[in-house]
Amino acid sequence: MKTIKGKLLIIFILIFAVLTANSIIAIINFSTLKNSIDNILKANYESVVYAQNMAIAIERQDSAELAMMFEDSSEDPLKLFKDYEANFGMWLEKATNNITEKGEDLVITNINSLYKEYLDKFNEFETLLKNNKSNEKVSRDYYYNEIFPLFESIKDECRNLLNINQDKMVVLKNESAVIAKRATLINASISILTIAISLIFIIYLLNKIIRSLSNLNSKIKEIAKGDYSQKLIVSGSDEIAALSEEFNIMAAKLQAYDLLNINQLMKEKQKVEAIVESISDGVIVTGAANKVLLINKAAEKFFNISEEEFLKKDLIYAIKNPDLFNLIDSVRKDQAKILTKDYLDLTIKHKNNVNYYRVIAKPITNISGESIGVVTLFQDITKFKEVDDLKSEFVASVSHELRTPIASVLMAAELLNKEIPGKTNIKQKEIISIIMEDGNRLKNLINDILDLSKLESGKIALNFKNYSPKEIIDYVLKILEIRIREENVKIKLEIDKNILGVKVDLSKITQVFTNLIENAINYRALNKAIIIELRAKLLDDKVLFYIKDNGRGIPEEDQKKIFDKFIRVEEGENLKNKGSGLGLAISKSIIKSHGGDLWVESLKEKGSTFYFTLDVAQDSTLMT
Amino acid sequence: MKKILIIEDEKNIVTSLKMFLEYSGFEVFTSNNGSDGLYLAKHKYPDLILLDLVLPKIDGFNVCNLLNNNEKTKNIPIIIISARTSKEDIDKVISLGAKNYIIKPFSMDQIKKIIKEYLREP
Repeated sequence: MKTIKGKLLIIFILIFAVLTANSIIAIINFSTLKNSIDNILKANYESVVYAQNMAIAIERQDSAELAMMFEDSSEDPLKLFKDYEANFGMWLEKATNNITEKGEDLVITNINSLYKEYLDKFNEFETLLKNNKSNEKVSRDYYYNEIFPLFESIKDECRNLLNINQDKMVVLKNESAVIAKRATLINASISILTIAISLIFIIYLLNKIIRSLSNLNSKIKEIAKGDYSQKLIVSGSDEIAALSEEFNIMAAKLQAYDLLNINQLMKEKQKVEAIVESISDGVIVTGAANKVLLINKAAEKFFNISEEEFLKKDLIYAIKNPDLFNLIDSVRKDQAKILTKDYLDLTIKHKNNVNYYRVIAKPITNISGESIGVVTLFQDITKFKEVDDLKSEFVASVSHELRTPIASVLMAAELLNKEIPGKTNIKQKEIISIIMEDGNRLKNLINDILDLSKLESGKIALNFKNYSPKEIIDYVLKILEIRIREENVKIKLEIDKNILGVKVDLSKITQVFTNLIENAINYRALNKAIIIELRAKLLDDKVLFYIKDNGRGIPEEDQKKIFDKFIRVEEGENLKNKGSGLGLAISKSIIKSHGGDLWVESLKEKGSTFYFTLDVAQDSTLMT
Repeated sequence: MKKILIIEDEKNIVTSLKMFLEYSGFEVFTSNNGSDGLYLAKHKYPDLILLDLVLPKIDGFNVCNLLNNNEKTKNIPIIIISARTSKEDIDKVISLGAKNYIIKPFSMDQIKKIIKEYLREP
């Protein structure tokens, strides 16, 4: 049988057959035993009983005869004798019908003839007794000489019968014992043999199966580890063999698939490498512990290094710039949130020129989100910087150029206003005031444009110090003291007690406050007294400032636009300082360079609230 | 009467400034370039010099430096009047000896105030 199933089937059939045979033999043995017992009972035990009864009967007869002889008149001896004769006859007949043993028939025959003789002799005895009533000796002698020996013989023969049967019984009993013993032995042997053989077979088969399976198991483990070259040896053609073959087919397929994947991955890798190498921005990839993993051509050129030289080495050997190193290191450690900017501007001086790069570092994370490296991009912004520099230079020179004539105009107008060249009439005064007003407007515009340009290009070096909100606001209110008094402005202050300080450039932040408060005054509600609320609230690591007024509010469509350049909503009330439209743009720029944001919420007719955020002072030392 | 020297090349500004300062009671000398200005400083003994930075021939920085290094002129307080606004310029010129700096355009009152503050006492 080829298959395991077949083998198992055969084994089970065999076992079953053997067990069945075993059972049949057992049953046969039981039958035999039963027969033996039956036999014993039937053949021999009954004969024993007959023989015993015959003995008893003949003894009673003998007693009867003796009674007749000695005239014992308690019972009727003759009747007794006759009764027991019948009795004896009955048992004898039964015994005759139950002749089963060798010699039994001879004994029975003897008993028959002896009994016949006995009966005959009894008749004679009876006659003798009748005839010799006076002479008892005659009958007595007759009895002792003729009848008694016969009686004894019969009894002996009965005993023989008994013994024959009893002996047979013993023999049969022994035979039964032997049979039983033999049967037990055979049964036990067969059972043990069957169990042993089947155990051996089963163990053999199981071993074979388990070995195959564990072999399969270990090969599968190897495949799981990635070694697809595993092959199972196929022996035989049973189920295990079939499984092994299928396994081999699967392993081959996996190997082929793996190769295909590897090829694809190789292609992808080459493609990516080609792309990275061709990028005109510098790309540097670092891994754990800031070891260099990749430096593309552009980066090699920028820093005058070669990838080969620094591969797998610490980045600091390749680029000896501590700021850069700190940037990459903190991005790798996922501390990038601490940085205020997500980029760094790097200046590299080459032999003949200076190049500027914007450096952006981003972490590379694996599937579980852990940082496994950093990719750093170096954007050559030299051109942009040059353009920016040109623009700044242009703005600076333009504003400078514009200042001089404006200064002249204003000075001239002021002279006229002060009537230094001579007295002026009312109409002249009016015209002079026009010249001064617009001259001042121009002056403010020029100043604002310059400020904004400086702020936007980040050229302004801000002087950050820690001040408490109260200090700042007090300073601002002092500057605006006159205006506030003139316009009858009510100021409400609400400053969070637990704000120790904020990090600001005082003059710039004052500019913001002044701008916002002046706006609030200029855009007042015409029929209400001006109320301005100044609030400072602590939020984690930032302080939120509110400047809330009860003025005329800002229409919704303008709320975004007001932070744009040269936008003014309607007409401000105050004619003294017509704004340039740049105030909020400048304020927003200032706040942005403090790392915060400026925005507004407003309802027409109700008022506006300007919000901005500033960083909390990092240490508790305050500088006044 | 106190003397003020204005070294400035913008004619119109000079005119207005001169008119104002004379009206305010000062004696005013002017020059429109650095070397004339130096000469005037040495010979007219002004009590204060108003100096522009952008000048033909020698620029204001140099003039300032020269004035400061000259025995005759180093005690004269120099106030820079300029349209230039960068902090670098301001710092530089202060380090070269200027006492203060006022950015054009300025009001007459402003200039008067600053002159009063720095005017050399006899």
